[in-house]
Amino acid sequence: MNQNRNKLIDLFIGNISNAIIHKILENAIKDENIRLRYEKELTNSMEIALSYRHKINPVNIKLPEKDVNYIKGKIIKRVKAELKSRINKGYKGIELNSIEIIMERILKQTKVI
Amino acid sequence: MEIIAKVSKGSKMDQIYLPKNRFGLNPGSYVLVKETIPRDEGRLIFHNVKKIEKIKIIIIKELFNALNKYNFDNIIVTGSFLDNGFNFNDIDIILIRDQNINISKIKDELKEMGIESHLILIDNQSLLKGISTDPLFQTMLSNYISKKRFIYNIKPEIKYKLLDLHLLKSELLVGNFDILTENQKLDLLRNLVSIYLFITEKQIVTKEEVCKKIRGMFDEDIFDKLKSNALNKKEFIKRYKLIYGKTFKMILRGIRNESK
Repeated sequence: MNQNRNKLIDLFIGNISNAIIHKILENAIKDENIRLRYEKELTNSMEIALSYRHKINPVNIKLPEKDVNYIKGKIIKRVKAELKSRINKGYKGIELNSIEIIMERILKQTKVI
Repeated sequence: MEIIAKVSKGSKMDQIYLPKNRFGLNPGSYVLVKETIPRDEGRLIFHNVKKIEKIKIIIIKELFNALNKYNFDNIIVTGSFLDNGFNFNDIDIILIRDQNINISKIKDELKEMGIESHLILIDNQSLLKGISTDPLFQTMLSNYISKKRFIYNIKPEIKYKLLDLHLLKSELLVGNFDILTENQKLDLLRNLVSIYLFITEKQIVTKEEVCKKIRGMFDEDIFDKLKSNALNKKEFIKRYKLIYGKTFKMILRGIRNESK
């Protein structure tokens, strides 16, 4: 049961990370029209993340601090690694500083914090 | 009383002849002469749709009638609804209009008619931009049924940062393989391969080309296997990751060259 919960949390982390990376890359694109048009794409990973969140207890209140710390740590590590792989290849305009702000907002939306 | 009559050409003035035998419209009374609007007979424009069930045509006509009042510049039905058979979840509808409009209201209205829809509201300029830069749009518009003729002649424009965003969506397949529906898996696979094709071929990508490439990259029966859930997951994921990695590398190379 616990193993199943941990697996769900990891899947949740994967999708939230994808949503954060998407948001940051979107901000790095200068073309405003294109950016606005693709904002809705974010919903894909968010919808999947929410479907996992609904299976992680406690569902309707925030998660215990231990889980929150684990989730935050993993998300930051994952998102940073993904974005840095792009920066190292010459991708410009990626703001690593915004990871935590976006993460906090999304975790609130998904009732993790 | 209303009469539809033809305007006849006269030598000094044109005239409309009314039958003597009529109710109302007495000589000397003032009348309003107004041009009749030709009735919309529901003519549809087919683009690369070779065969479609009659019931789907009826649904599309009903759909267009219901959407008429919103004065869209054009309405385009596309996606799996146009494929043979009834293996679709909703109807993909592109609504073209320069002004914004509340599409959730339209979605609800269609739902009341029993039509589950995926609506994309877009202005003309963004649509054209989308076709030139977004392989997903290109495949979507490689076959459609629309209300009005939709002609475009656009050069493909590869924007690597944008393709990076699109590709990110397909990353979801690997981690979420077991919870995604067959149609969702197919969407993400098509997304990946259309991006791959767009970068390698550097031309507008069609749905048929993408399907052909998928069969070549995976298996001739890949679509049947996906539909019947008979895929060898391990083998599929391995190949998928390989293509994903290759595509991602090409994108990063493109971004690096763009910024030079």
